[in-house]
Amino acid sequence: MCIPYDIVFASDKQKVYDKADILTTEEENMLNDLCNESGKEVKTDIVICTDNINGGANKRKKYLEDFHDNNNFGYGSKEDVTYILINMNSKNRGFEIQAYGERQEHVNGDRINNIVSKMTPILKEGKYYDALQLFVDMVYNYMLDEPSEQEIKEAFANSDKSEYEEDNNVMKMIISLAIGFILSGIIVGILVSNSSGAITVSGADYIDKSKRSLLRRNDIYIRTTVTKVKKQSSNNTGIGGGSGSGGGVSSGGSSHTGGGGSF
Amino acid sequence: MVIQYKCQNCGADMGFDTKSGKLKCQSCGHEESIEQYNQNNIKDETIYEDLKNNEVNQYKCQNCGASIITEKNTTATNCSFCGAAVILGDRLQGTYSPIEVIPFKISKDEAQAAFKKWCNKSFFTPKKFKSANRIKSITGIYVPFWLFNLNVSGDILAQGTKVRTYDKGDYIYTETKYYDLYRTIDLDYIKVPADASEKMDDKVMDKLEPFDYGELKKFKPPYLANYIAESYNYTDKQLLSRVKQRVSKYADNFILNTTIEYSSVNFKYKNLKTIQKKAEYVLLPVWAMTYDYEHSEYMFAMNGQTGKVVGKPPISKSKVAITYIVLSLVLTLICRLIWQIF
Repeated sequence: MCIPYDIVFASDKQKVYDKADILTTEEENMLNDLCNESGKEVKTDIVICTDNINGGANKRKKYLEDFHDNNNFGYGSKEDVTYILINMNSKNRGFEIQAYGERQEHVNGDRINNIVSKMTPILKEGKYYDALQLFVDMVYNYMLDEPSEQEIKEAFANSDKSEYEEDNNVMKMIISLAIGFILSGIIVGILVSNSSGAITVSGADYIDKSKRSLLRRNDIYIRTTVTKVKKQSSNNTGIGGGSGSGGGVSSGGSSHTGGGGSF
Repeated sequence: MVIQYKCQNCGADMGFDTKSGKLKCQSCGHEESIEQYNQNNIKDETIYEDLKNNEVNQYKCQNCGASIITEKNTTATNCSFCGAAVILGDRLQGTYSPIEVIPFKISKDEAQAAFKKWCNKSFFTPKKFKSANRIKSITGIYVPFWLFNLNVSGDILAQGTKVRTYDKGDYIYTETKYYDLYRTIDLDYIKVPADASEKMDDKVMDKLEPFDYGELKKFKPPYLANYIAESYNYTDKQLLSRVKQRVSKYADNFILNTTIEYSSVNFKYKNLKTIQKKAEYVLLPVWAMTYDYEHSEYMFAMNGQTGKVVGKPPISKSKVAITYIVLSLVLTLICRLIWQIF
C-alpha cells in the first residue's frame, strides 16, 4: 500500500465541477482549495458538482452514482467521499448529497437532512458560493463528530443489504403464496360452477315484435344540482424539506447514504 | 283404451322416428306419415277397449297380455315386459288432449352420446360415477307445458339522473340533472312456457328453453309412440301466478331498456296489469335422467328438440381439494419465478 501516493493523488485532484457555471472562477478556486484542505484534515474527499439536468430527485441520485462510478474519487484505501450536486435546470432546481466509503455513516440520513434544511434558504437567495461553503464546513464537522450509537444503528439497518433482502424474500414468498391460492381458488371455482346449464332466454324471445309496445316515452327535465369537493393536492414542493432516505447502491456496486431537496 | 301401432306390411310394432318425423316399423322399415294420418282410419291403428274394472282402469298389452303398470298421469309408455310402445288413448281425451306437440328431433343414440360427453366435460366428476352404467336409463319424455299468451300494459313514472363530473380550479364538481320519465307500455308476450308436470324441476325446465315453436305440430297420438308421456298435473290457472311473475320481470327489463342513457333510475309510480290472453296445452320433448349419487339427487335433462343440456354432474370433493392445493402451489411457484426474473 502506498498511502502517501494516494493522499497526494486524492488531495490534489479537481474537486469542483461547475458545469452549470454558477460560480466565478475565483469562487471555484477558493472552493477547490477549501475542499482539498478540509478533506485532507478529516481524511475524506469532498466533491462539488453543478449541472443542468432534466429530472427530479431520482435523476440527481443516478447522476451522482454514475459520477462516482466513472471517477476515481475516495480518500485513501477507505474510499471515503462525499458529493454534492446542484441541478440548475429551471424546471427541476434541486440538490443532492451522497456519502460513500467506510465512514459514510458520518454523513447519514439525519445529518444530510440537517445540511439540506440549512442550505435550502441560502440556495433560494442565489448565494451558491455561501451555500457550498456551508456544505463543506458541515461535512468537515460531521467527519470529526462520531455519530451516536443510535445513528450508527439506523445507518446499519439501512445499509445491511443481506438482512433487508432476506426480509424481502420472505415477503415475496408470502405474496406469491397469496396470489397462487387466490388465483387457483378462482380457477377451481369457475371449473366447478361451469358445469351446469344457464338460462339463455329473455323477455325479448317471447315479446310480440309485430306491434308497438312503447306507447309513450316522455322525459321531462326537472332540475340540476351541483356539488364541489376540494382536490387533494399531491405535489408538495419540499421547501427546505430534505429526505435522508435516498441511500442506495450505484450501478458500479458502491453503497452510499444520500438525500436532497429542491429550492 | 290402449293404442298400439302395427305395421301394415309385417305386423310388427311401429315407433316414432326422429330422423324422418314419421312412424317407422322397427322390423321392416316401413314408414307412415303422421300428418296425413286420419284418426278415423283405423287401418293401422289398433284400439283395444279394456274392461273397465270399477273405477280403476286396467290396461293390457296386446302383444304379450301383461297388464301395463302406469302412474295415473302417464299417457304413453312402454310395456314393461315386452317393450312395445303403448299409448293410453282415453287419457288423452277432452281437456287432457294436447293441442300441439314438438316431436323429438334428438334420437336416443344422440342423447346417450351427449350424456357421455356431459359426464366427461366436468373435470371433477367422480370416476365411479363415470364408469357406472347409467346411460341406459335415459328416457325420452313428452313433458306437459302450458304456453301462455300474456299482455302487460300500464303506466310508469320514474326519476332518472344524469351525472357529470369535471375539474375547475382547485375543485371537483359533480353535476346531477334530474328528469321525470313517463312510459306507457303495451307488451304482448307470446307462448311463454310453464312446465305443468309435478315431477319435473321447474328451474331445470326453465333452463331448457328456448324451444323452436316453428316446429309445433298439431297433436296426434302417434308422435308419442315409443316415448313416455304425461298429462298435466297443474292447470293453466294454477300456473298463472308463476308466469305472471316471470313476465313482470321481462316488463321491468323492457322499461329499463328505454332509460339506458340515465346514470340511475328509480321507479316512483308503477301501475302495470298482466292479463292472460290464451293458454295452450302442449307436449315438449325432453331427454331426462335422474339419479342418486352418494345420497344426493341429480338430474340430467336435455332439450329433445335443440339438444341443449342442463343439470349438474356430481362433483368429487376430494378431486376438487387435490386440484386446488396442487394448482395453488404450482401457481405460487410460477409467480415467484416470474418475480425473480424481473
